[in-house]
Amino acid sequence: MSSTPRFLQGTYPFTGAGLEKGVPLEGLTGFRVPDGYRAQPVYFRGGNPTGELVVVALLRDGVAVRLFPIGARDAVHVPLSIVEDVEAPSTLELQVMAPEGLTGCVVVDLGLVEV
Amino acid sequence: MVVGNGMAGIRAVEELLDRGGAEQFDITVFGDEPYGNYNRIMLSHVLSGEETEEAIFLNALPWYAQNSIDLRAGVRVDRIDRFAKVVHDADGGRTPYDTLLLATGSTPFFPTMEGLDLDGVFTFRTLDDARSLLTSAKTHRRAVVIGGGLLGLEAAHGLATHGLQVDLVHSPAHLMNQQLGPEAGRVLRRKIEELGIRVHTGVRTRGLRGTGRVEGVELPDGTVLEADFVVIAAGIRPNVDVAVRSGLEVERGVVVDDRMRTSHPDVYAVGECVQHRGQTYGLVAPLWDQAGVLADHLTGARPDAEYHGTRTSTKLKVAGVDVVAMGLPGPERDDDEFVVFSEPHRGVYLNVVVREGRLVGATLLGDVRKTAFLTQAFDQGLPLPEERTSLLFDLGSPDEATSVAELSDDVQVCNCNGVTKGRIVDAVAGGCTSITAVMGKTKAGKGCGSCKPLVEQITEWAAGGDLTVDESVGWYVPGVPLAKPELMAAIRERGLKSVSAVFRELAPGGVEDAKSKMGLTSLLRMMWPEGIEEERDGRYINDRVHANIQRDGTFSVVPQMKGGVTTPEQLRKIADVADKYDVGMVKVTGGQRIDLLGVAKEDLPKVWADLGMPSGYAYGKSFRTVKTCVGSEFCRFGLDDSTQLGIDLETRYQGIETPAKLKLGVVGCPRNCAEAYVKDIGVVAVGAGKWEVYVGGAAGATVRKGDLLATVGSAQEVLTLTGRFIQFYREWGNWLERTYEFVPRLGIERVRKVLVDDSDGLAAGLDERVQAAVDNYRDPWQEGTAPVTTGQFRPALPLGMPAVRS
Repeated sequence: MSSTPRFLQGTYPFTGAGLEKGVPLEGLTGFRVPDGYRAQPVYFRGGNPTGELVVVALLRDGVAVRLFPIGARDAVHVPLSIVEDVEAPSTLELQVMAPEGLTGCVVVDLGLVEV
Repeated sequence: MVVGNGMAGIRAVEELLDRGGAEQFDITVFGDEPYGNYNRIMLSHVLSGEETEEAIFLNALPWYAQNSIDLRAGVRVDRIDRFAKVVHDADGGRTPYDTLLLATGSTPFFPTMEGLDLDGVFTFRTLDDARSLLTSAKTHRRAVVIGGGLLGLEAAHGLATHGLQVDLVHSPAHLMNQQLGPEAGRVLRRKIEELGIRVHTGVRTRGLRGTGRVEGVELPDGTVLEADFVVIAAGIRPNVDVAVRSGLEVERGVVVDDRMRTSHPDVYAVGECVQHRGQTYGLVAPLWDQAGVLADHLTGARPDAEYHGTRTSTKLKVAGVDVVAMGLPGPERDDDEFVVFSEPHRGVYLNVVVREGRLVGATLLGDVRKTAFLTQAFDQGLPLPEERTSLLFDLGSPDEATSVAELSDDVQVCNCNGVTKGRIVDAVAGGCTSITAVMGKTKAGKGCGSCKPLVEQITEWAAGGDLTVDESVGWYVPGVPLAKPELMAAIRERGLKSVSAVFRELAPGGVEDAKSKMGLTSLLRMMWPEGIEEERDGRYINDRVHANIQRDGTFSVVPQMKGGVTTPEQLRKIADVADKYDVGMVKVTGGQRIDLLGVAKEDLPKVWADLGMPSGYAYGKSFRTVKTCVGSEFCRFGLDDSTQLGIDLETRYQGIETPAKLKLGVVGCPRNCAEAYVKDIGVVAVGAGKWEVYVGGAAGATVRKGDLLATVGSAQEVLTLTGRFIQFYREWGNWLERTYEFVPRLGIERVRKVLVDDSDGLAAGLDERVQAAVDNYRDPWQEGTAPVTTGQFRPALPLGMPAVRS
């Protein structure tokens, strides 16, 4: 097996800091590409049970590379059919951008492969 | 990386190579079947015995090597890891790729029924299927074919030609219901029944009966058709196993866009495994379009190339009946015009469907003369003549030649090999003025053969009546349009010293021709005895490894044994080598030498090193040997020392390249113990120090007594005259023309005048040039210790080699 599937997934609480400002998802650690490997995001699924639009951002070494807006009480599935390699030792993480003061949780499922 | 070694995959590779893809890609091809690439359409001809297996190969194994394609024949691909860009094969190998092409074709469809697991149930899809059917046909009497489509009819016809009683069961109401309407199907049925095949239409099969082995096919009404074996030919389905396992988007077939891309980047697909715009195809014509688009796209030759689907028209010969079908088999709307002509007794059925002045369907059965015009009208939506019957008959409408002229260049003439009218016209413009030359160059007409008359018409038309039988007859080699004297003059004038230089300067368009390389190498080596720029691919395999390739791929090694004379020491050495390398056979040859048969290619250098003897040239288009009798020393009748003269001749002229092989004989008296009268050059002692020199004899496939060239007074004169003749033959003989053809062609009187009487003042020059060849002789066996090219002594065929693991 040359490619190994990896996932960043779960339901995580957050407190919004404005739609322009990302906040970490409490309890979700990022994915650090191990030495000698590279990674590709394959898909993103997200669910937003709150009553406001939120945006989940995919960050690579702290820089947002993809934004996934999720409407109120809505879900998205984005197949990332255009992928770029993420080389070691980069770190991929997810943050959420939500209206200031909004509290709630999001469901995220980021599918990766490690090659 | 190409997954699939069938017609689609390899056509795509050919298109890539055509566009210079060899420089951009290192190509690896995986194929399930352990063969090169063959024409699946022609399997029915193999089954019926009209063609041999060899004849249906489009590209045999050497083609892959010549194009530096790494063929993994007989290796099944399990799965593509599209993220790691690695292919996993069934042998456990992993091969990385940059760009992958899926061309997995289709697999036979099995309708649900009982008994499919019984012995004696076959499909008809691969060469191995055809072989098993042939084997069964030899030992059995009764066969049932399930499926009355194209494949089923072909299988039934093939089996019937072997004298079997064949029943054909087809569940729709008429034969070839995919392509033909009911009436055409009935006419076809008549023709098929005339072949002795029993046809059952509108009948589903309830199941196969038998225990262990199939014994019969049960129909719904309870009747059982007895069968020794059963062929299932109920259609095909795209083979999408690999694509599904690899996570590609698959519906009925592998989903591709207009550039043949699948749902995953860098993975493409073409052929019958593909679903394009919702459509899957089971015919070859779309392959050619798809392969062209793919190659345009991948090589960047035409980055905006797109495939928009193919309007399929079927043109084929099924069970000996010509069938052309395009578009609708019959009218669909109330105002569709429908012209029908039916003559069941003659097996002719013709119809056209016209909608709003455009041809939307046509069926031709048994009489396909109007194919060219109708195909074009269908493909391009041309306006039609008001009088619709002229669509089917030549009623004062243009004759065949004119309608050929009206065909547009992109009309596909040969569906089997994807050849358009334009390609044929180009071939004629490029110098092919005979039908065989056009067919050889374009492959048109080399499939099912149904298009041959059209190919001939177009060729005749394009050549403007200047059709020749085959003008290349006069050329020295097929790839350079020059006769030998002009070719030699041009080579000398320009100082060309390599085969590729000759192609570059003298071939039309500078195109290299593989079939011409050996002849040119021989010619150049003759013209430049001091040496030419060696190009190893310019030689026969025998000349590359200096041994004679045998039918099983091993080689035979023949050490030199001048005049058939050997020593105990040589014999001992030969015996030791034979033991050490476990040669299959040690044989005294007709040329008085010892042949070690069954030596593996990679052992050749070691065998030669251990032998430490010069080569006997048993393999070359060159001077080979001089057979002698025992001559004066031991023989009671011997008039002169033939043995010594034979040794002297061989010592002097050993290894010299000639247009074809050269075998000599010297005998000490006219009793002819060494058969000198039937040698290319034969020398006979006639007493008092005189020798007769004969030339142009043969005792092979042709038997001919040599012509007396001269009677000379000394052995020295024999040596001179022999050399002069050899050089004359080298300079004037055609490539592969044996002396028994060469001498009669010129006439012995003419040869005698030139060589003996020196009528043309050539003798001194010939003597001088043959001396130069003798002076520049080098023993090729030395190459065994230091191979000239890597791989010179490695097995060439990929079969049986361990798969490369990455």
